[in-house]
Amino acid sequence: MSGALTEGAFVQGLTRAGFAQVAVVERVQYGVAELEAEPLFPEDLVALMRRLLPRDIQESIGSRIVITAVNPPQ
Amino acid sequence: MSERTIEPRVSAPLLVDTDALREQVRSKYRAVAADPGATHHFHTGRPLAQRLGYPAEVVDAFPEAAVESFAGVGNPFSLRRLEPGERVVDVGCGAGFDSLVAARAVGNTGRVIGVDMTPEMLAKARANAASTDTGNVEFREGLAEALPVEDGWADTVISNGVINLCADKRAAFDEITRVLRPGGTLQFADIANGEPVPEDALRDIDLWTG
Repeated sequence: MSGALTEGAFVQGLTRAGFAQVAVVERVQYGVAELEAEPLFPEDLVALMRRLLPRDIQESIGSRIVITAVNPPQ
Repeated sequence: MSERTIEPRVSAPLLVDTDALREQVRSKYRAVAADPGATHHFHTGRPLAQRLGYPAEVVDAFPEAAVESFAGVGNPFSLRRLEPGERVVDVGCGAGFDSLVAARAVGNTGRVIGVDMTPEMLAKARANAASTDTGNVEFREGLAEALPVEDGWADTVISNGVINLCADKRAAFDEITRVLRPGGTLQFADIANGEPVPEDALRDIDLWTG
């Protein structure tokens, strides 16, 4: 996930590229609890995340988003 | 040890070895193409598509081979349905599931170009188009940062879980702007971090793809 942007960076980058009406239209946030339910996150990794990450970060590690934007008419 | 963050990275110097990153991404997705049923670090296939909100009738309309290597992170069609006759570019199309969904939506008067950098995924996408008798879709090898599509060709650009794997986001966004006609729409799904990533993590390719 190191290559992922924050939502703000997505919006800023698209706006800078010339897009208009940039909007995050869907957002599914996930935290450690959601990752724990995933079979691909082993118990030791989840335990490490719970131990090292501040509680507020544990609840919002990231999100799955859908973004729309329009290439402005010329 | 640097804890400096770079935000937004769409305009920052590239901190990762681009060629090495692309090869690692190819390697991961080559494995998904070859053995979609294996355990990968992300979910794949029909269960994933249903979990992400693709309507059952859309997913069920395709044979297993067309869905099994799907590895998206969301549903780029969730807000706006594609209209018949539209021309669509699917950036990072993989084995072509979203491209095939788009091809059915735009119908015989529309056209879809799927672009991917992994030859094994493209081979699978072409086979899926042939097996589903989908004639209005074409798959081309290329990068998000250098799309093999002419200027202003597309009415809509879609993408699903790909931008986070692009080393140069700014180039990818510029390319999408270039291939979209004026007034055209970009609709894509991706993952977003809650906080900017520390610079050290940006240099670690394993943390991009894992």
